[in-house]
Order: sequence, then structure tokens, then C-alpha cells
Amino acid sequence: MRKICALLLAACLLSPPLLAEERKINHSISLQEPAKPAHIEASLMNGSILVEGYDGKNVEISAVVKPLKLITAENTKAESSTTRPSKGLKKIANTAMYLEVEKDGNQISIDSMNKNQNIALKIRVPFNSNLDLALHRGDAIEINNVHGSIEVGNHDGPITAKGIRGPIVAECLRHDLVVIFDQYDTSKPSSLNAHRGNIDVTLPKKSDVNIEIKTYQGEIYSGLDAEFKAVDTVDKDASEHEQRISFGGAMAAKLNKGTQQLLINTYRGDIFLRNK
Amino acid sequence: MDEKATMLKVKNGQLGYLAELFENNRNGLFNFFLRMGLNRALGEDLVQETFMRVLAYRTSFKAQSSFKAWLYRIARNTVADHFRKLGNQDIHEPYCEERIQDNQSLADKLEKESQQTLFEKALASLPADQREIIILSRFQQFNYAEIAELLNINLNTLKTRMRTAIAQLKLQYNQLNGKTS
Amino acid sequence: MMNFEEIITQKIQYLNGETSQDLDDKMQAIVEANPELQAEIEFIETIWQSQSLADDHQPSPALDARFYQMLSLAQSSQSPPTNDMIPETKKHWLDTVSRLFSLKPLAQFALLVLVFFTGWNLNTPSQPLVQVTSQKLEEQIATLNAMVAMTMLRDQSATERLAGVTYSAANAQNDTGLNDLLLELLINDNSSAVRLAIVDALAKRNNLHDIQSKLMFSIKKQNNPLVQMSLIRLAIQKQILIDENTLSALLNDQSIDTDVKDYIRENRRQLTGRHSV
Repeated sequence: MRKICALLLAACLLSPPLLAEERKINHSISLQEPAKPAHIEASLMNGSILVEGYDGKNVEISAVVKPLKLITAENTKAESSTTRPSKGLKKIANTAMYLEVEKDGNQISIDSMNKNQNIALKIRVPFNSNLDLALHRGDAIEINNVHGSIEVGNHDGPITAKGIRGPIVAECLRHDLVVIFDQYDTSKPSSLNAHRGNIDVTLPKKSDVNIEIKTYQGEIYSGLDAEFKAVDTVDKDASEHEQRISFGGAMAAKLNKGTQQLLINTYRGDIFLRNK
Repeated sequence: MDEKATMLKVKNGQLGYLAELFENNRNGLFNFFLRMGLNRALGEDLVQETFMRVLAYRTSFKAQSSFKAWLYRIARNTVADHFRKLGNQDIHEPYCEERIQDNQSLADKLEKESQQTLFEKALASLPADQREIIILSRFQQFNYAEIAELLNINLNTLKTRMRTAIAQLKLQYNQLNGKTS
Repeated sequence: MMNFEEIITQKIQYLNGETSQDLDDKMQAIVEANPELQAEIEFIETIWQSQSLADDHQPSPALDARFYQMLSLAQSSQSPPTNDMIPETKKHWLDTVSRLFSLKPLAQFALLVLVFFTGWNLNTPSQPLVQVTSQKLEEQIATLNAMVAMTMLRDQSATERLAGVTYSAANAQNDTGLNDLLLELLINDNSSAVRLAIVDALAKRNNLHDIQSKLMFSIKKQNNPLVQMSLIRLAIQKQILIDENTLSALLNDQSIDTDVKDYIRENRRQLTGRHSV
């Protein structure tokens, strides 16, 4: 029978004087099946996420929560009135915190969509864990030494993933995406996308990968032992005369046998490919 | 038909017996998906998807479980996956398009897609978790204990939620009834 | 004081046939003393006892066809018989097959079957039979490939769905159901990596005119500028023309990134097919 253990961590501080603005939480979760990979999902509105792989069986969560600046008159809710009298009342710093941690077997979800707090989330996970991370308005996502599959999106900050094996599906919008593989997993394709940020990838020499790059306005810099060639698309028209249309922004290179794909897309960001 | 025994045969490799389970549960599952807010085409897709998963995960069926509870657990995951894929594109600005609406717009959408009785409209306007409890009890013939196990909640919590769901259904139904009379 | 929820629970359990016991006298008295509770009980009785509400909709025969096709394929792709069930001479081939077989590469196993049966029949005098058999097996392989791809595309994990797009592009380009699913995911998938890969997969098809309106519709539905630009580029590549009104609407849409708008402006002539703007 599935076992779900939902922990709602909430603290509300109301007593005067104004209290410390930081709250810290530490929590350790044991997996239902420690021999199998954990699957960790973390989704935050504001803050940062750091995930580190380690040689252990538990998932260890620590979080430091700070409230964002008090709500200003400009962004109060539509229903609230700014004309209510507050004379004689003390303004209370709202340090109420909302962070939900849910466990279902080997699946752990950490979620906070509260717009009024900044959470610095740190998670230690067994090496072979799978990750699904999303940060919507925050700072950085950093991943170190996690060997399972990784899905990560950072809307407003950089992503750094070091000592990983993939597969990885990662997306940044305006900031840099840095990935350092210590091995390249060929079980499934990987995809790295950044709109205006740069993408910087380091691959071991033995990686068995077919790299395909599309960039509209970015430059490509490579230190790999592989030749990049333009990928042309050929279309035949109705009269069977061949038409060759090349977009110029699609370049491909094969390392070793090129067994598995690594897809890289940017609009303006430059792409850096390095040997490990 | 002893569905548990039949499923154990499927688990042991006698895949042909899955046809009996399909025939027995196809309509119920299809109507479950329709009542959860899907149109006919998607309802059929998810019935097919559910049975594909039954086949794929047949070795995980346990003799202690009831087949129906196990089947609907898979069905619930299937429909949740479907709505999950629809629901996550609206968080970001300025790239966000229309925000995913609350259940009211889903009810509007259903109104365009199919002929509904007043009750179906009221049911459709409920939040998904409330709608589901009523559907499982009234239409899928699950008893309280089975629903509690399926939703992984205790019995008292289920009783409270059932009452809340019915109260909300009644409110919606009366409002719609008032509008049309 | 008896809990109202207990009374409602008892009533529902009675109406569902879980118990033969309706509300007892004590419960009934409470109901009669509380008008709101009485209204709830009456509502429950109406809903639970109404026959018309229980009328089920019937799925189409296509659902049955799909299920039985899937079941048939699953049965034919099951693990081969164990060694003690087969004649001596075939052991070697089946050993090879059982090493190759696993859930994902069902198509590879089916291909092996195709090769075996085609070769097996080469010496028969009935050539049309060989052709019919080969064709049917090829169709089955194509369906298997599409089935495998669809399973991957419906996975929760974006990495699995990405692999599904790659698999479908390589093995099942012409399956209608699969293409419909790809178009649905192009609009609804929450991973822009998957959506980009779908655009790339569609770019490999020769003719997109049957789905061009859906492709153009999906430009506005995207929340990622890279995907929007790749769709616009696809339109240029496949010579799918976009009318001026649609382009103007995109250029005036506040939610569309300026880079995308610049890209549209730069390629306006190709997109509209007009030599002067």
C-alpha cells in the first residue's frame, strides 16, 4: 500500500517585538526502498536551490526562509484598501512560512509557491537520485554530483550542474547554463536550452554523443576533438527537383560513435564546448 | 466474475484474460473520465492508456488488492498526468499566455462540448477532488472504505469531504436550477 | 450529539447497497429537527436514486478495436517459449531472441520475426503469400513502433518524452495517431525541450500542409520564444504562408518576446509570400 506522509511546515510569529527575519528548517527523510533511486521534485517561487549527491540513503532537506520586503502599496491585492486607518497599530513583519514536503515511497516533493518569501533550499540526496527542479523568480540552481536523470528549469537565474551523468533536460531564460559531465549517459537524449544566456558544456573525451546545436545569433566555441558540420534540410518540391535549404544555425558533431543525442539551443547566447 | 483471480492470470502471462477485464470495466472507466471533465475522444484515449498501463504494470498487481481499486488507481494517475501536462505553462511573466482558469472556465468549456443535464453541469463545476469523490461513490460503486484506500485518506476525513462535496454540488445545482427556471 | 456526517454517511451507504440499514429512528428525528440537514438528505436521495443520471455514455467501437489490436500485439510479442517446450533444432535462434527481447525494443524483436518469417517462406512456391505476410508484418511493426513511441510520449518524465519524440521521428513518422499526439504535445507539453524536439521531428516530414493551421495556431500558444522562433522557421522552410492579419496580431501581442517579433519582421516577406510589404 502506498504510503504518503505529508508534512506541512508552517510557523507564524506574532508576538512583539519584531522578530528575527530568518527561519531555518532541517529535515531528514528515509526512502521506502533505499536500494532504488529516489525521485526528488522541488518547485520554488523565490529563492535558490542547491542539490548535492552524497554516499548515503536518506534525503536531507534544509531551508533558510526570509520574508521578502513588506508588501508595498503598489502591489497590494485589489480587494484591500489603502485608506484603512492604522494609527495606534503596530506593523508586524509577516514571517509566516509555507513549505510543503511530501513523501510517497521513494518520491519526495518539496513545494513552495508563496510569493512573499525567499527560500534557500539545500537538499542532499543519494548519488543515483533523479531530480525535477523548478525555480520561477529566484536566484540560482546548483546541482553537484547527482548521477540520475535531471530535469531543471530556472526562469530568472543561472543553472550550474557539475559532476552529473544525465540524461539532463535543462532550460534557462536570460542567464547562463553550465553543465559539466563526469560521464555521459547514453540511455536517453539530453537537451540544453537558453534564450539569451550562454551555454557552457564540458564532456569527457570518451563520451559517445552526437551534438546538435541551433543558435540564431550566438557564437559557437569548441575545444572538442570533433568536426562540426552544418546540418542541411533537403525538401523535394512537387516536381521532384531537389531543393536544398540550409539554415546555417544547425551544426552537428559526433564524438566517438555518437550513440546518443545532445541537443543545444540558444537565441543570442554563445555556446562553449570543452573537453574534460 | 472474480476480477482479482482473472488479473492474477494476466499477471502470470495469460494475457488473453485481459479482454474479460476490459469488457467488464471499459464503460465504467470511460464514463469516469467523462465525468471527470474530458471529452469523448480523450476519454477513449485514456481508457486505452489505462489498459496499456495495466498490461505494462501487471507484475505489480498484488493478490491482497482488489482489482477495481488497483485499476482506478492507475486510471486516476492517468487522468492526473493528462491534466498535469496541461497545467504548467502559465506561471511565468511576461511570457505567460492565458492563465489556466479555475474550474469555472472548465465548466464553460464543457458546456460548449456536450449536451449536459443540470446535474452534469453542477458536477462539472466542482473542484476536481470533490467531483471525484462523488463520482467514485455514486457512479463507480466504490464503498467508503475503498474510496478512502484509493485516495489514501482516513475514513473520517473522507466522510467530511463527502459532505462538503455534496453541499457544494447542491449549491451549484440550485443556482443553475434557479437560472433556468 | 450525533454527527451530521455520520447520518449522511449512513444514508449514502444505504443507497449504495453497502448496508441494508436506512436511517434509524434516532437519526430520522435529528434530520426532521434540522431543515438544512433534511434538504441535504433529500438532495442525496434525488441524486442517488435518479435513473437518468446513471445512464452511461457508450464509447465508440474504435476503442474496442484499439484495445484488441494492442492486446494482440502484446500477445504476439510475449517472451518466446522456454527451451523444454521447443524442438532441438530451433533452440539456437530462440536463445538469440530471448537475449534481445526487452520491453522497450519490441519493434526490434518484431523486426527479427519479420526477417525470420520472410526467410522461412523464401522457398515456398506461393510468392503472393510471402508478399502478403511480409506486408502484414511490416504493418504490425509500424504499429508496434507507434505504440512504443506513444507510451514514451505519455510518460511523466520530460527525459522520457524527449526520447519518445526522437524514437517516433526515427521509427514511426507516418502514424496518424502518433502525429496527432505530437501536435497535442506541441501545444500542451510543459517542457520546451520536448516541444523543440517535436518541431525538429516535424521538420523532417516532407509535407505539412495537412497540419499547417494547427502549427500556426500553436505559435501563439507557446510560452517560450525559442519554440516560437523554431515554428516560424519551420513555416519558412516548408513554405507555409501566414496571412498578414495573423502576422500583425502576433506583432501586436504584448506577451510575445521582442526577439520573436524582430525575427518575424526580418522574415516577413517569406512568411507572407509577398514581395513588397
